[in-house]
This record gives sequence, structure tokens and C-alpha cells, in this order.
Amino acid sequence: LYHRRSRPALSARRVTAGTANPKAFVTAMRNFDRNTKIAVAFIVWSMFVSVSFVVSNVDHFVLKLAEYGILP
Amino acid sequence: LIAVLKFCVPVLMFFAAYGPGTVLVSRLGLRDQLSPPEHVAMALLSGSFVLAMGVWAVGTVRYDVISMTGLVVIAAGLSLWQIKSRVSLGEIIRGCPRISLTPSWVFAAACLVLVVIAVVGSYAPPSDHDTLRYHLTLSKRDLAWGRITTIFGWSVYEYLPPLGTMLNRLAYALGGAESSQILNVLWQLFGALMTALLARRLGVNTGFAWAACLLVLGQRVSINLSSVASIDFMLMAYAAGATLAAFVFARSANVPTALLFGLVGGALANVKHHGLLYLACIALVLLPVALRRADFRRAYLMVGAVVVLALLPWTVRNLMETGNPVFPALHPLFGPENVNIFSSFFAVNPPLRDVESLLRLPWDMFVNQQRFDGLQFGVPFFLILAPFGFLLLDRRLGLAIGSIIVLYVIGWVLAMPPLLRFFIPLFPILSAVSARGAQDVFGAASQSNRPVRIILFTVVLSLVSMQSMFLGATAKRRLPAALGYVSTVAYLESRPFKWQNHVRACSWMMERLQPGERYLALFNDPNYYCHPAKAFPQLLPGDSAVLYTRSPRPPVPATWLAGRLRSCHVKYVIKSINLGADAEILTFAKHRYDALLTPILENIEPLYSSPASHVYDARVVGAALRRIAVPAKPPEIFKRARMQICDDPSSN
Repeated sequence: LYHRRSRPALSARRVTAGTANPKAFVTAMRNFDRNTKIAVAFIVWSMFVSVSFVVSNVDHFVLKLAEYGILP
Repeated sequence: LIAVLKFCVPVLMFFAAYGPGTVLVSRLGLRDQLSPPEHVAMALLSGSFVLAMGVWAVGTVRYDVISMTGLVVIAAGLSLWQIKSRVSLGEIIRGCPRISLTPSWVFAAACLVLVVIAVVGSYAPPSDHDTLRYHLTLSKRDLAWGRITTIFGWSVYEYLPPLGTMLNRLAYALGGAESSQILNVLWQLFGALMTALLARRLGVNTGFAWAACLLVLGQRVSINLSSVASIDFMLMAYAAGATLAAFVFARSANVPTALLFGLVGGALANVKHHGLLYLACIALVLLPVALRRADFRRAYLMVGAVVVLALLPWTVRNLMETGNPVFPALHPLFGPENVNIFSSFFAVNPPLRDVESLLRLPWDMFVNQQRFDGLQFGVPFFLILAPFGFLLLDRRLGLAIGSIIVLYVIGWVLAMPPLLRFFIPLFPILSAVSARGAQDVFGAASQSNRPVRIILFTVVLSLVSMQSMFLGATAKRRLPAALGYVSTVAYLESRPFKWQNHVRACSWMMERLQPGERYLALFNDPNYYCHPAKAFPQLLPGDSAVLYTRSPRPPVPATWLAGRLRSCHVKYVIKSINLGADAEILTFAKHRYDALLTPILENIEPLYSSPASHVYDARVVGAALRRIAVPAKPPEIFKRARMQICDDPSSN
């Protein structure tokens, strides 16, 4: 389990890269005003971090759900 | 009514701390530098330090309900007098973060929900690992012996800095385990409110100051560790106070601000070793200014002098009794034979060894939290929000705060077992910076277009929902036990707590032990539910010479142990089923008789069995011991036939 845990971080990166096209994102950002840039940057960053977090910890969550009897 | 009284004990302790604290802080004349709520907060921090030292002084002579009540009544009387003469309640309320129909209302309501769940959860039977091992066990032992004492070798945790442990002892003496647990919740709340004050200093408005408060209370470790007896949130509150005092000191370094910073910093170092590290980080950040400016240098040295003075009682006691002023930390530095007491703990949880893992640390500690042992943060709010706070903060202030964080993390990597829980002292500044980030992001979003606002709201809602699941999981486990819907035994024998409390076997045994009778425990750690003062000693007179060194303890001869079981009126032997499955082998006097008794117990039928432990008749065990051949040359200490080991060890 310990060694398997190092894999999801890479998977998370792939997942995030798949959902956002960096080139299109940069072009779009140039046309935004400062406030929108901050808001969009936050949305992208928070989604990237939270998706990575979920993917990295999925085995832990499954174990916890099993402990509570929600999953077999 | 009893439940209400148990809640009143920690509230009374805070009230009692206010009096001595105000006497100290108001004399510094810092009305212009501190807002009224900051003034009250500093008084509570200073007063709690004084109160803890009072508990230590009085408790060393006499530790019982009467002496502790007397102490609290005197301090509370001083508080009443101070309130009558000094405080304007309206002034304090005006200075507090206000609640209005903006995000602050939502944040404050969420804080209230967390605190109510934590307070109610505190009425559940103690179940946390460290609570059962030493926070409550040491208080229970000292209360039985009638005085606060230390016995070299009994537990290394007796030698931790005294502030938190003494306040826990005060709460335990007056209100038992529940009051100790509620005290922890109140310190958590106080630390969170201190964080809100810190956030205000970083330019955060009142609404998002409540968000800073919520960020502290909503961390997974805060949720999990709220309804337990602990000193971690006292540490957090003092870390917030020391940071605030450092801000005041850095703005105008003079005698009063130096005394305040020294006092709160000294108190911080008296809570836990981590406090010493955090204080050193602040001192290092201020050092370049002290080297550049002579006036600042004088005040800086004064801060150091006050901190040293505040540390004297703890360090001198430790030096005299253990030869190491900061025992149990850094023990190999204080003797060529000394071992690292936590070495086996490091072996189980290896620290970061290579450059790659060090570079990945900021990401791993928030995203790959499973790589580290111990309690975790849950949704990485700090990683999501703090970068925006740092980007939009004043550059010099951001650099100073960032430096404190980086220095502390370096200290964590080099000197501590890699537990994420040990980052708790950083929570106030991380939360304050994150709240600043949240304020700027939401300020920008409110000026932005509608789709962006909707997406941002959805993202935040999903993050909060995810973290709420951790709260729900803790509440689902703890609240039914607190409200009596689940029995104590069923709660404590559920999976996360099963191996650390032995509640069923301990209760069975305690009900049957007559006054003067004892039990011998083969446990991985001492246990709150098996009365520590009735335990047969695991610490023998010859042991202290070789404790925490490379030299082994002399093996116990079977006939000697058989004789002592009889003369010490040992009625039962209790053995944990998972005996030996512990990482911290040296932290308590334990495993002294494991090698001798384990093979014998395999051939004896237990009197009582529970899912975690077996109880045996000590007479049968003694008879089996007598059948073992006597060694030709027993170690010297065991030749003294009349050696007494069953007296109250506190009288030694």
C-alpha cells in the first residue's frame, strides 16, 4: 500500500491536464481583467489540488468507508 | 447538572487566568499597541502561564480537589477585582470581529457548529491514544498519590514542559476526564479566535477573520483532536499569541513590547518542545534587524532574557533529575551512553532522507498525506488558499511569515518524527494568510462575471462538503457515545480504539481489586482505565542507572518476581493480546517482565478474556514462576531480599 501511494500523484496530474488545454487557457486568461484572472487562477489551482488530493487518497477513503460499513 | 458543572470547570479556569494575566499585561502600558480584544487575549495567555506555575507549586505539596479549588478561587477572586476596576466590556465587544449578514455570518455559524459538536463529544469516554497513555493517566496517578510528582523512568512524558500538563491536571482534579477534554476544546476555540486577531493584523476584514477562525477549527486534525485531553491547541494558541506579540515588538521595539513578547514567548516554550522551535524561528527572522540596529538589539536581548527566565523552572528540574534540560528531546547530546528515546518511532516513520522528498514536501504534506503517520489536514485548504495570500500580501510581511514557516518545516524535517500533527503551531499564520488569500480571491470574484462566480461558488461548496465528511465521521462515532446511545464498552471496543484502552478487562479487574491489592500489567502502554496507582511497578530500583542508555536492564529472576507478587499483594496479571506492537518502547516503564512471563502465560487459563486482553490469577502465575530454575548468579539488586518496591513511589 505504501508504494502504491506514490502513483496517484502522477495520475492526478494526468487527470488535470486532460481537463484543461494549457494553450487555450493561457490565451483566454490574456483577455480577462485582473479580477477575473485571480478568480480563474483560483478555480484552476483549487481544482488541480483537490482532484490530486482525492486521487492520492482514494485508497484511504475506501478503507474508511469500509470501516464505517458503507462499503463491503 | 454534573455535566454543566464539568463544563464550568474549564470556563472558570479561563476566568481565573484573566486576573493574574491582567495584572501583568496592564502594567506594560500597551493600550496603544494592542486592541482591547488583543489585550484580553494576552492577559489570558500570561495568566494561564501563571496559573499553571501555581498548580505546579501547590500540587508538588498537595494535589487534590481542595488545594486546586483553593488556587482557582484565589485567582478567580483576583479576576473579579480586575474586571471591576479595569475592563470595559463594550470596548472589548466593539473590537471583536462582528457578525453581519455577509460571509462572516456563515463562517461564524460554521465555527459554532464545530465547537458545539466538540463540546458535546467531550462527554464521550476518553478514547484518544495519547489521552489514555499519559495526559489523563498521569493526572489520575498523581491525584491518587496526592501530589504532583516525577519519577525518572516511569514516563518520559512527565518531563514535558509544564504549562499544558499542569492545566490538564487542574481540570482533571476539579472535573475529571470530561473537564480535561472540554478544556482542550476551549483552548482550540481560543487559539482560533487568536488566529482571527492575527488575521486582522494582516489586513483581513472582520468577515474573513471568521474564515481564519474556521480554517483552524475545520482542519481534520482539529476535528479529530478536539474532544480529547491534549496540549496541542494550547501550543497553537500560544504560537498565535507569540506571533502577534512579535508583530507588536517588530513595529516598536521597546521595554514593554519586549517584556510582552518575552512573556508570551516564554510561555509558548513552556507548552511543548515544538513551541521552543517555533519561538526560535521567529527569533531567527528578527535576528537580521537586531544585528543591524542597536536599539532593536537591546530589546531583542531583553526578550531572550525573559524567555530564559520563564524556562528556568522546567529546564532546571529536568537537568537535576535527568541530566538533560530539555528531556526527553535531544537525549544523545547529554551523555555518551544516552540513546535517542524516540529512535524506534523514527524507524517506523522514516524521516525525509533525500533531496527529492524534501522538494516534494510542500505538495506531499497537503496532497499525499497518507505518506505521513498521525492525524492529517483533510482537504488541503492551506495549499489552495495560502499562495494567493502570499502573492497579495505586503512583500516584507509575506517574506517574514514565509521564513517562519520554512524554518519551522526545516526543524520538523531535521528533529521531529514526521507527524503532520506537529505542524499545529503553524496553523495560526497559515490560516491568517489563507484568510487573506480567500478575501482577495472572493473580492476579485465579486467584481468578476457571473459564470466565474458560479463556478467558484461550486468549487468552494464541493471542498467544504468534502471536509464536512470528516466532521460527520468524527461526530457519528463520538456523539452517540457522549449522549449515551452507545455503551462505553461498545464505543471503546470499536475498531480505531480497540487496542489502546482494554476497557472491559480493566473494569472487570478494578471492580474486584480490594484496597492495597495490585495488578501486574503486560501492556504496550499504561492505560487510563486500569488505575495507574494500583499497578505493580515496572521500574525497579536498579533500573534508573541504565535507563535511556545503551546498557541493558538486568533480567528479573523468576523466584524474585514470584516473591514480590506475593508480598506486594498482586491479585491479577493482565496481558494485552497485541503485546509488543508498539513503536515507542522507551517512553514508559514497560515490557519489564514480558520475556519472563509471556511463555508462562501461554500455559495458564485466563480468568477473564476480552477482545484485547486476558486476565490471569497472579497466584497461579507466581506458582509457575517458582517452578523455573533459579539462575546461578542473580544480578546484585535482586539479592536484597527485603527490597521494597511496592511503597508509594512518590514518597521516594
